[in-house]
Amino acid sequence: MTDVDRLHRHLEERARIATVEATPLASIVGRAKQRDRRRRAAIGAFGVAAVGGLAVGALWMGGSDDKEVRSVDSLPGTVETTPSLLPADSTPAATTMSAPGTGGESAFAAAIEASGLLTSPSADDAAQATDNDLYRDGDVGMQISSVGNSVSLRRCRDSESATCGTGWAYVTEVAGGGEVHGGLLGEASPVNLQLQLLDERYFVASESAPDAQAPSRAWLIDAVSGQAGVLGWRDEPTTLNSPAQMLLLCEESYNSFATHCAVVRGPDAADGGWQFLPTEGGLPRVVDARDGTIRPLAVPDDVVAGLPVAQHGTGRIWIGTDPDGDRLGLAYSDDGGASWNEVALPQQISATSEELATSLLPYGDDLLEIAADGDRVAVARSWGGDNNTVYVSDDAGTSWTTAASEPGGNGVHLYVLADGRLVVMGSIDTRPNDLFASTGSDWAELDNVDFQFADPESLSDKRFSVNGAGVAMIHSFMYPCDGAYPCPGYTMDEAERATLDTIDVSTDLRNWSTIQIPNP
Amino acid sequence: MDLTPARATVRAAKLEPVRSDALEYVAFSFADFYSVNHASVARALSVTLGDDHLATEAVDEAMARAYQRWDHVRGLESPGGWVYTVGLNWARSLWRRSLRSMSIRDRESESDIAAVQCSDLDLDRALRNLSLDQRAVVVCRHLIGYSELETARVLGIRPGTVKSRLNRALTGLRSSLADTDEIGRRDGR
Repeated sequence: MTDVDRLHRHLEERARIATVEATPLASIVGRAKQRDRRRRAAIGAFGVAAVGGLAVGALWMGGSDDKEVRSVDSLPGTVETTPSLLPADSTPAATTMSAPGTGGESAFAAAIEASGLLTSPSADDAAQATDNDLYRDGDVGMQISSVGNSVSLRRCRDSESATCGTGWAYVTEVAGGGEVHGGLLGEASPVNLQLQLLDERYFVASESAPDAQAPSRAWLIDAVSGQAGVLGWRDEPTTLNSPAQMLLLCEESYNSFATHCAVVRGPDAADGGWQFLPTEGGLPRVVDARDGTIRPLAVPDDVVAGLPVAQHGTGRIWIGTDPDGDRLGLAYSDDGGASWNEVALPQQISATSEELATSLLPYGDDLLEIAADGDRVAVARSWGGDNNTVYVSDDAGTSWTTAASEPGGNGVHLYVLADGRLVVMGSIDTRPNDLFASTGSDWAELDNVDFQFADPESLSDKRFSVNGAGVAMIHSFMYPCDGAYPCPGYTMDEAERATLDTIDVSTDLRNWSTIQIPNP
Repeated sequence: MDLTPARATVRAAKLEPVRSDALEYVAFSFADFYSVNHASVARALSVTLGDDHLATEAVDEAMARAYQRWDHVRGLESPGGWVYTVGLNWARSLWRRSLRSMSIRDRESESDIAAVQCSDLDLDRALRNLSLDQRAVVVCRHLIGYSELETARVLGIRPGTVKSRLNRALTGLRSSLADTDEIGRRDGR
């Protein structure tokens, strides 16, 4: 008898011997009507509170029926002009990490504010977004910045007495739980929304578009104020991760005159390096690292939705293509996009577009992942491939070798650290679960990142946030028993409650420092 | 409707009524749905939750919610799957709250009580060591008989997540059973 046969037999026996009572239908109907009455009463009470001007933020990380309510100091629409990203007693003075943008007054933040892109959600929006009966965990992961600010996406759930009005909502929380805000997004596709971290404060929720003809949507969210604004994208919002820059490319949406489009982290700016760049003439722009100029980025005609762009300090831009419309390709430019050199991908990774188009679900991240540093480039199938193999080339794609390690999970993400090493992150959906880094300049030699300070039993549920500037490991989101009950050795709060406790950060994956996040 | 040991019969109880034509669909009432699905959803939840009483409560609560939204629920691809998932989420929430006030010793002793009735105690214990999410995927795939895609739709997760959870679940079961065998050998069993 095979293991699976044994499992089947046991499950069937358990189902057969289960003692389940046959509840009369009338009892079910009575329960339903009672629920209706309670719901109406609750809605009435909430309406009175709203008229009274009370701002209410539900504790969004609790159980769905837990109606713990956390009061907030300010109305959801109130914007702090000089936001404090950490509570005063949690300033990471003991840390060694240089975290750009933690001052809260970066040029990036100032430019965002000046642009008028972000607007405050109404009190009704905020109340909806934080209502656990209307929205639940979006199952697209939560992103947490290295100072503990977080954004969580929530999706509409069926509610007996009310409709959500929009498919997606978000909830932001300032480090330590001092402030909770919520707002509504649009009707994004439920299968391919994702959340990206820009810096300690700003996050992008983006819908990837499997069809290049259909403009996808994205929203910029400020975790501190709870404000958000719609970004119009050329296609898949494309993240450029490098120590020098992080770029999201976009252009005006087809049916609007939106001018807020590109978010760029510029190189070596004294204030922390963030710049916000509205588009010009509908073209996405890129900081050309060769001379620091900002110019529109021309892309090859065969660039399609979902294909990434990567650029390192050398200025070379790598981009995924779809030559002839039937296969994946790769190209690079050394002149800011004026001309492009096509490169052959490893055969194993070069799935046809038809394969991708007919895959089970058309995720935008179904395509290719690129990390590059000059001639050195690493590629992997981000999603949908048969394996998670990472291929590395030291000669600009002329020849490829297979990296020594294969990350677990069902998605692969690649990054380049400031010291030039490759970081490979395996993920389950959008949740990071496996981390490797090259041992030196040879990207094919990958070692598991050694978290000497962490409980090994908990590492299977570690949460990471990675970008070119470094890695943040979020301890509070480890579930020792993967959510199972009971969880011996852990209290319920330790095992289940999603609160921020500490975040270990490192810019080189060798030296770590800990940021303490006080919980109320 | 009882779930029987026969695999084929279990597959037939896909927690959704057969809708062979539009006329049958229009005539599909909540009462019909309830009589066909209540027991099978309750048994599936019982296996998932490891608690008969909680499973009954969960299916009743989920059925009440289905009744409130029947116009919507009956149009779903799998109304039975919807009830299963709503019941699972309701139980999860209730469980979290009640467990907060219980000691670990209390929780473990309660779990042990639920285990003594079945013939394959080792596998039952291994199954209970899985997370609730993993057990839900195992039940959907190996008891109810949903495909990966159907499981993903019912539970509201990606097919890739179904695969990874199932893989981790089966790996966890094999590991637990191997540990049990080792202990048995050492104890001379």
